[in-house]
Amino acid sequence: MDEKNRHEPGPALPTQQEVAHLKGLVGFAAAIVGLVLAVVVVPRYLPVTAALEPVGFYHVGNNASDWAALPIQYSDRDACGTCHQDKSTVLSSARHAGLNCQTCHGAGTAHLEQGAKPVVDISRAACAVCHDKVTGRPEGFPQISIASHSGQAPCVTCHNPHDPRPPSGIKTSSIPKFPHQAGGWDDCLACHRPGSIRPVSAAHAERSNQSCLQCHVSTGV
Amino acid sequence: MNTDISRREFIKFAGIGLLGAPVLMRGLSGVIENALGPWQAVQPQRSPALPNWQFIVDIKKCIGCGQCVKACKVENDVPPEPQYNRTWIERYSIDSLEEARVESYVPNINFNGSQHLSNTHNGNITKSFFVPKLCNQCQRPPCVQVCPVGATYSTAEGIVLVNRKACVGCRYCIQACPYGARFLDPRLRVADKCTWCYHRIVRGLLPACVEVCPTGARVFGDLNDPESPLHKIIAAETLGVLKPDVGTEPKVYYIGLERGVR
Repeated sequence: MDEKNRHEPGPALPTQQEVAHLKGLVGFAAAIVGLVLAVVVVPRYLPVTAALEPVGFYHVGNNASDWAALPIQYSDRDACGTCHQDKSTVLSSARHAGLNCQTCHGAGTAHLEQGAKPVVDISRAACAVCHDKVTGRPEGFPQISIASHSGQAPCVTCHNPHDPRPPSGIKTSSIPKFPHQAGGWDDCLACHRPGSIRPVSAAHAERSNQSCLQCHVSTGV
Repeated sequence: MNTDISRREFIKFAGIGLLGAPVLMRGLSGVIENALGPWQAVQPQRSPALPNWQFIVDIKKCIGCGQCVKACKVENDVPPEPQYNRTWIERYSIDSLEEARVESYVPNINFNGSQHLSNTHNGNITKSFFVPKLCNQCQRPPCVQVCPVGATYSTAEGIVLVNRKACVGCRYCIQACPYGARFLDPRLRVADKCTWCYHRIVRGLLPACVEVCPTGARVFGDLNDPESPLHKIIAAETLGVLKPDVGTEPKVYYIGLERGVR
């Protein structure tokens, strides 16, 4: 660079050298733009015809037919009623109407095709899945506190699972409570057999010692 | 062989080659399209004859029973461990400061039995509800875009699937999904995700989760089918999608979507 030019005061016409330098810069910028056009834009957009666009992102191959061929585990919801008409009739007018049998009884294809036994879970936990009182469940959905609701008997003792409704004739509050000291009682019928002191009701004739405490909740007095 | 070539000549030939190659490619593209026919079959233009499957989730109806989660595992052979799910349920609890607390549902572990939320989380819980989650089958799926080996793709009907033979298990797609809908199958070491029960819906059946939902919180249908239950819902309800701002154009629509659900 020329020492004399740089220190000259006031505006001055650019020297020939500076003009050449500027021209060089402009030329360089043009070359860069041209290069981008040539290397990126033209090869990207010129050879890719509209017919190739739907291909989208690169992928090795569509194996949708493999996925489509997978076996079915849950049957169509109408399949069960073909054989189990009695149950589906009861269900159709009950509060559980619209429920798929397989929601409670598990996947049905194995039962349909190989005769495998479906799930018949009569535990309280089975009903609790939907009907236990849980924070977050919408208001108005029937919920009870499963831990404290009338003893520990399976819900199906009083409620028909296909046509669930409050059991007629029984108020859970009217079931006599277990009045004895808790523990050690394994033979209720030793005292309460028919014809003895405070006998079990005739409706309980078929029941055994094992089931008493399921409804007659231990109060631990 | 004479390799003497001036700089001027080199630049000239290189330039011609650089500009000429794409022109040649364009000429050859017809040949390429014929030769690589399967490429076109991969993602043909949407035809109106194809089903336009959509999914609607009604948050107001979900009771968080988790039967959908269980059914999905059975139907799709999802790993039994509770952390692997193609569909799952989240419980949102909104407190008085409008902060959301999210818990994820694990069948038979969470929420079953009398589990109640404590009221000590940043003030009182004012609202609590369940949000079922599943793959949104995005119309612009980021998981498909990022797959480095091209193992994941959208089918002609717009269902995003994984080609397990091609997947190398790199987990890019798992990170790319803004909805956390993907996981790595620990047995196969490949990415796995909800397919909306592709094998069922192509046969005209409903996805397993929709079949077993006891309250009808999940609705599935084909918008091209005038009999589809979707139409009535779309006419009557306000629908929202998760994270609309990320531009994925999801196909799972929610009824009763609260602010703060994402």
